Amino acid sequence: MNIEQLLPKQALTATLEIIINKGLSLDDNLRVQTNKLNGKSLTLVLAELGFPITFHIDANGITVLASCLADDCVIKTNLATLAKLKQASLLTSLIRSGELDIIGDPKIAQQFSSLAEQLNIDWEQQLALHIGDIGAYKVNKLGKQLLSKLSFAKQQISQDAIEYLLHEKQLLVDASQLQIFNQGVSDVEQQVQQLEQRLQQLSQHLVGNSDSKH
Amino acid sequence: MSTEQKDTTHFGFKTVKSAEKATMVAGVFHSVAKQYDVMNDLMSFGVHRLWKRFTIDASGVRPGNSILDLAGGTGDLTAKFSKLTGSNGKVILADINSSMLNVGRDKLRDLGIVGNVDYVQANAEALPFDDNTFDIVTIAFGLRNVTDKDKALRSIFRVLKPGGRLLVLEFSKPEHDLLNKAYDFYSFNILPKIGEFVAKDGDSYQYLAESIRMHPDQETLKTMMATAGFEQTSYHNLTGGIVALHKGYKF
Repeated sequence: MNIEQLLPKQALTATLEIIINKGLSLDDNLRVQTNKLNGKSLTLVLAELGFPITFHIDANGITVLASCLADDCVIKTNLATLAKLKQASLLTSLIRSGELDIIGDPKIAQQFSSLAEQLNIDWEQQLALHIGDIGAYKVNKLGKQLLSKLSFAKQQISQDAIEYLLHEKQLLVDASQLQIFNQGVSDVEQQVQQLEQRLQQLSQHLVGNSDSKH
Repeated sequence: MSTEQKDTTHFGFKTVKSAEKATMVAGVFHSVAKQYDVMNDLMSFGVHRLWKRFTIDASGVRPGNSILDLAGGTGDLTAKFSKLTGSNGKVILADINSSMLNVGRDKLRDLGIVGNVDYVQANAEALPFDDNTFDIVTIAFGLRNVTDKDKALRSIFRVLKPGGRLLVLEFSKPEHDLLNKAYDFYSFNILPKIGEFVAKDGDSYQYLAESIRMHPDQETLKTMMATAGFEQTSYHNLTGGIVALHKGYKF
């Protein structure tokens, strides 16, 4: 059975849809803002995902699809570039460099982005409604501890991988080795320039001698 | 084939007169209509929602489309299509069974889904719509209950616009023997008991399990669609082939 048959894309979009709609239901101001985007959709085609994700707004909330719906605004890019999109000044250079492709109205993307930034849910408070304040506090604390441990583990794994590639496998060079190499390249460049000048002088000298004989 | 054989069909593992099947299926769905959504979640562990999402993603729906959700039952697909096709589009939730249609209509209205949805009690074998009406026709977990499937496919083909597509989401044949055995055990031993316990109707869920086994497998259904006139017919197995989504175009 291939992984597609387990419907990971649909599981992802279903989860996103539940979370976003829950967030919207908790904030009346956001609901008013979504009315402005009623009937509009934003499609993200991220290189890392390999499939489009569409966010479509209607009077009842947001629908998230793992497919395209309309050409209101389609953004083709990658995750790293997506993070840079907050800086409007970078848009032109990102499009020119080929890192970003926008079809449709970019204003729709900005409106969706503004909506996403304002979507700030107090999960602990929401959880407290179901399991009580103490339970919610403990779950939240546990979550933070887990995140902290995951972050430490990520840092540790990254450090170990660097050490392994640098010293054991010697596939990478460290900063000082790179500096020595760069210095060597500069020295060679300087020597080449000196040699060029010397050759030019000799060439001029030879041309001068040949002219005086004639 | 003798006249007697021609006039009979399957109702689960039983052989019944063709004229009687629709009434017998109606009996099953009148009985389960009110518990239908709860039972779907219980029986499939909620995965039916992902199967339906896959169908929406594969449908190529666009704003303004006309869509027929045939055997639409309690309206899961209609609810999504209504949002996506928007105020310029139209969705028709059709079901042969009035109880299912009533449950679907009440549910969608409670969800605030109104305006671009119509409800029609219709038999898939003789659809009461003009030729070339719909961009998309879906039939989810409904085709196996239709008495004459070939006739239904021809009827659907007629009402589709050129360029339109049919999506059939239906239980099918698991690809692997081990999964097939586990699925058989679940279907015939556990599922009717869940039906008995929750919906107080074990017989209807026994019929469900039997009707799934009697439904054409992936390749057979694909051939039936091609015979009815559909082109570029294809299917995707979902969850190991427990369910398959067939797709075909009218050109």
